[in-house]
Amino acid sequence: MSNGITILEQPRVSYCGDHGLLLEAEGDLALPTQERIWAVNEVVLGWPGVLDTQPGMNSLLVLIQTDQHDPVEYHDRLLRAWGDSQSGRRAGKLLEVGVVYGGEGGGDLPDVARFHGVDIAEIVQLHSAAEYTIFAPGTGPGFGYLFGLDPRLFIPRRKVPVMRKVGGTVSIAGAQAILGGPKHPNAAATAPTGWHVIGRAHDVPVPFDIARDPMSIVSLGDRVRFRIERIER
Amino acid sequence: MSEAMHSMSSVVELLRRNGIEEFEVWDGASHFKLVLPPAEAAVPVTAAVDFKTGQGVEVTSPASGTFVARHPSRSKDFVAVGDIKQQGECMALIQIGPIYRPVVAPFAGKIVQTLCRPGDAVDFSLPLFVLQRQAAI
Amino acid sequence: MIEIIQTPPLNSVQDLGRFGYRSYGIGCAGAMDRVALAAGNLALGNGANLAGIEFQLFPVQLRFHCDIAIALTGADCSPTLDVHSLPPWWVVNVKAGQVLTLNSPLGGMRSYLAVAGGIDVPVVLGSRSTQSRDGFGGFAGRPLRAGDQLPTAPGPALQFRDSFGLGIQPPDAVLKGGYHSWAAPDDLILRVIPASEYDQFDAASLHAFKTASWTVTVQSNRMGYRLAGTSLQRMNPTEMRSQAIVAGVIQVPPSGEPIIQLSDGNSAGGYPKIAIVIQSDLWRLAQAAPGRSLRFVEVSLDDARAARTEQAKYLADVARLCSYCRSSRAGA
Repeated sequence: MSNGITILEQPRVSYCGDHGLLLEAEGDLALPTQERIWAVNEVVLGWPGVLDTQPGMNSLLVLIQTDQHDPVEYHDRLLRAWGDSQSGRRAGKLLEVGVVYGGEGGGDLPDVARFHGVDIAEIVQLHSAAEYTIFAPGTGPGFGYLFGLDPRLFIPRRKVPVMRKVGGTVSIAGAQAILGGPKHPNAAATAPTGWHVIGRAHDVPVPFDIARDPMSIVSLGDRVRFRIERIER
Repeated sequence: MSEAMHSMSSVVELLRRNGIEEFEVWDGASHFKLVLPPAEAAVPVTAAVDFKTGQGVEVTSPASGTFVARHPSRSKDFVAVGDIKQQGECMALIQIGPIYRPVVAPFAGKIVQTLCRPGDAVDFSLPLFVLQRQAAI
Repeated sequence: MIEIIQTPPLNSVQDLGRFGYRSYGIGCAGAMDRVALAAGNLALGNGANLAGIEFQLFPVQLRFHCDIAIALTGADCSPTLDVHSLPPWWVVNVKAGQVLTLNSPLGGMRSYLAVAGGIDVPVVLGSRSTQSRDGFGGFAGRPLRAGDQLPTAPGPALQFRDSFGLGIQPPDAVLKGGYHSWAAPDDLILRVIPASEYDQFDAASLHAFKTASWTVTVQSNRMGYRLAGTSLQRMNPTEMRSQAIVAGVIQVPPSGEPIIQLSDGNSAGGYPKIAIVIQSDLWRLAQAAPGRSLRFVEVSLDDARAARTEQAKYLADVARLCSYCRSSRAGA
């Protein structure tokens, strides 16, 4: 049983049910590849009949207005758009958040350290040293999925989700990292997760506010840095 | 059904109920004659309206369509012979394509006879039930 | 205006969904049984997408504070208007002061109330659907509570040929649905299109996927349905990258028992996807109660298109036939 990540040798477009298409890029997660995903996203949003799109990690979902169009009409066109796309740096902004690593808020830090056979200080150092890029929208309005996790920190998702307190969570799983926004007033205090919560950003800003303009304080291509406030053992 | 057809159907129903088989109108330049074929012998036609003695009155179809005795989502027919229905209660449905028009009790009464089988094609004004007037409950 | 006299949780204002905001992580929400809501709206002469109320828990009591035409569709909740019983899938005029009571359905799960002109809550990000987790849309961004007063749009009063109203033939009597050679009479059959990780599953799992039945567990709601049954395994369980998730996606978590993501599901996730339920069968799943058995049958895109066409025709026929039995009252 391998816990590696599937890497495609060729890009491919498959159908997402009967109302969408999924473009998957070749190769491993990489900034130039994701820049091309963002570029294709912009192009596709201009096509007639497109209901919505959503970049993923090395992927792009395209949803079609099926009362007027059919996904088959877009298959080859999407693959061609990928072939034609080019990477290019986005001038994103930088968001820095202070993190209390470990302790009650980052209860999975010791397990991650044990998994890698190092001290928790090493994990904290590797995690906070990196600059992360927001690659794709997350499971809800927030800071999205972050790319840039040091390969020495890769750890598989949990097989069985666990309940963890929400609010400013700093988590890792697979080759990805995420930052949770503040707890929503209506939300439950804990939520199930397959990720490993290694710290807490107590002063994380509210990422998304429908009354604000712009609604989201971050965009794809923006960067996130984690600053060590302290390490709790 | 268009408004004009609906009006015509009402006129036909009125003529039938009063036993009129032919109807003719002259109006200067216009001449209109309506001849109704006699009602089918197979369908019992009860003499209307002796309310005091509680004889049955026909409840007729509001539309041309298919007679539906039980709503497809329910496990019981709307009514059974012997049931007492209040004025305004639904007794059956007439299906026209994907919609149903209700067959509604015109007064409080006891169902004495069902004149139709589920799935029968029915015409506008075809008698569907015989309802015997009861004192209001 | 519609006053909520009494309601359990989990009943909310929904239209046919919110689209165009996936880049913000905002999923589609919307009625779980889109066919029921659309049919009710069309029967009233509304656009299919006007907001109605989705009921998942019962009993519910509402009082109408205006004369208005309504449609009740979806699961048969033995509705009564004051003391009068209404058949299911029924369209009728109600008078100001009348009380509508909805009871637990004996079959099916979700019922829908549409009103002429629609529930007049603000459009937020293109839709009137309630985005419960994120707290916006619908009525105050949350499920309904006793005492809530729902605005209704002013509009022409409608008149029906029969004062008792008119009925709509329920879709399960009309829409053919999938065929599964192993299915028992009561099994729900869901037509699916294989998804991007389909080929990663081992032969035994793919065979099971095509033949076995699963049971809808009680952990099934607007976010998704968890199924109990055969465990599906991949040949080489690699770590997945996170991708977009849409309603109908059948995910296979490490436990192997499938989860079907639905209207309020997360908009992204990292579990492998074995297949995706076709759009035209999502309403059937929305009406499946815990304990129901279901099976999957793989279909082609052509089959899926035919299903969409069949559904569109049903709704168009409902709209057209109802328009013949309905008129606007002048001067109202």
